[in-house]
Amino acid sequence: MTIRQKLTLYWAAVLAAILVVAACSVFVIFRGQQWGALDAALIEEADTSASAIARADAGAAALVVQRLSQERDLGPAKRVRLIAGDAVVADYGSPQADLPATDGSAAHRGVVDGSRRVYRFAVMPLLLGNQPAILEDGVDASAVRNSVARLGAILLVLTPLLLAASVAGGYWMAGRSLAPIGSLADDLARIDPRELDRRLSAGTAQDEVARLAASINALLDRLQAASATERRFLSDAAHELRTPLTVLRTGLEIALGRERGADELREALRAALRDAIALCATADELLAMAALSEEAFGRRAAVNIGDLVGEAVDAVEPLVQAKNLTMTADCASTLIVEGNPEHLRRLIVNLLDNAIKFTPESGRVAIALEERENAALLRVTDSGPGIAPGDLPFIFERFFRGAGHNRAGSGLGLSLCREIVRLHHGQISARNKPEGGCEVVVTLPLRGAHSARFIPRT
Amino acid sequence: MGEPAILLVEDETRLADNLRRGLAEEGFAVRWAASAETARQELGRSTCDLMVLDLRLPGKDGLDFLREMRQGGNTVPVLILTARGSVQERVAGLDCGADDYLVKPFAFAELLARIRALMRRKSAPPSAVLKTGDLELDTITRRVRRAGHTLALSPKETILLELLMRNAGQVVTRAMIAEVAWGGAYNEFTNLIEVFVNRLRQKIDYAGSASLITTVRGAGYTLRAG
Repeated sequence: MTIRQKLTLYWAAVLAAILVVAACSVFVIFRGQQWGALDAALIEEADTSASAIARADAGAAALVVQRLSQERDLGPAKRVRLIAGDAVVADYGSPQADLPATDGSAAHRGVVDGSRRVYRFAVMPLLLGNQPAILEDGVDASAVRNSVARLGAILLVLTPLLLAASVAGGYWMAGRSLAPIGSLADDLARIDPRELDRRLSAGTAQDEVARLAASINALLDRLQAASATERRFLSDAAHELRTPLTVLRTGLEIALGRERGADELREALRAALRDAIALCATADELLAMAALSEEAFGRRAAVNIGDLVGEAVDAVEPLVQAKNLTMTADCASTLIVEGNPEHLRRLIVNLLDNAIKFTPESGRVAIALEERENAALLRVTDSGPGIAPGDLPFIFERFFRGAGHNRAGSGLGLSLCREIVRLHHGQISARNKPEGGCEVVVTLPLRGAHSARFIPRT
Repeated sequence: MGEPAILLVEDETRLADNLRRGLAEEGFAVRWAASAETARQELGRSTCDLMVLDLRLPGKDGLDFLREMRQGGNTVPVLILTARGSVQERVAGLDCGADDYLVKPFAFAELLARIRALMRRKSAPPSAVLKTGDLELDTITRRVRRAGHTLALSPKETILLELLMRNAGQVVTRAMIAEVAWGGAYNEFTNLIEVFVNRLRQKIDYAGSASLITTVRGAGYTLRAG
């Protein structure tokens, strides 16, 4: 059911209840008033007459009754009777009057309808001499009955009509109020994800619909920014691949450009293979970056960082040996971090890889793991030339490559590390050690802790 | 006269190695600078006949370096290498004083052809009438004659022939043809250029004898020089 229909239904129900109650109240009150007035007048008249009759003798009593039956101020016709015991002492008035049904028992003072509900009688007990008697003072109450019935009929017709009209009006009003939402929905449907420039017009009113439009526009802003970031990343990534591809292509073209000996050709092929492998590594990192930026965290598990460090050290063993480096690993006992094992492994491997890359032959690379204030603290140091001070603030940016001779790699390694650390609610920082070389520090909150505060270096 | 000297300004070591080797094998004397500062020093030390400049350099930006070079009065022909190939980038590069523009990844043959074309342009004085063998093209009246007979070429065919004649004896690549005839973009997988060249051949060749225009597989086309 639409909101419009629901709103109208509730409105109709509430209004119906109100109208019915109102109509009933009006009817009951009016009826009460009409009868009340008549009854009070009848009683008063009967009362007065009864007192007069009680003081008079038989002849005078009959006269009172006769005169009473000729009164016309309470109605167009009357019938008055004086009954003592079983005998009717006096009976004057309209013969068509419907008399009240007699019950024979002691009557009491009150008002009663005639047997056909036309006349209304005031019944007044009194003492005639010593005998108990009743005075019945009746009047044709058709006027009152008719006016009450008429009101009842009017209310009976008017109430449904009013209800119908109000419901129709309510339905129309609901439609008008909800129309802006409908047009908002239409506008939204027209927005193409490729052209997120469009925004909803919030209208001039400061109402709920304007608030909704403003919220949606804010969401579109965020979407547009995210989409722009993504596109920039894609274009940066494509550029990153262009130079390595050129190296590969020109190398092969030059090798094939003229007659060459088998050795030369073999060397060219080896070089091409190295370039292709480097390209694969770059592509891997790009994919990892894309996977991370999707915010789909992937598997979440309890990860033993100490184990991962061991695996990473093993993984980079060939690189260490190739440059004749000394690698030291110093890991505390079991430290459990909640996170994605693949990402965390890549983090540690990237850090080690970076350190190895920038350390000259026969240098030293060290990785240390300790617990500090509810977090795992990972420290990777090398004995290389360190990072140029001008580059230090930018080394974690995507595709950043500082000035330097060794520009191999995609430039994504450290920015990947930063993304992974961020996803695990940790911190990463780098500095040049005073004694030379570079140190990168990563803190990751242990399982159960919240985010790691930035641990100041000692 | 010695080998023509090329100054290669490129920071990516492996690419620089490849290009140096390839260009040296083609008869160029290649000097290498890995940054704009080094390039400036090299230029101060001795002249070169052409500079191949990669725009993405550490430190000073390639375009800034080029602009300063031109403002300083250096008119060495410059060929830009870059990963960015949008139209605005091309225009910006040419505005800064570049003579040609190659987008990575490129074919080595393309680089070679363009280097040679630039050097040719520099050494040959711009003449109004081009002559190659018995072909004659008047660049002002746009009239083409072979052995005295006027040939009926369309304006685009004349442009193509002019390009071939200016680079007679050297390879002219499909990309160069596309740039000159259609202002740039062309789909490598259509044979539009082939069709174009063949139409030209039909008009300038003598029936029965070999075409003046040779197809160089994998590279482009060459107009016979003699």
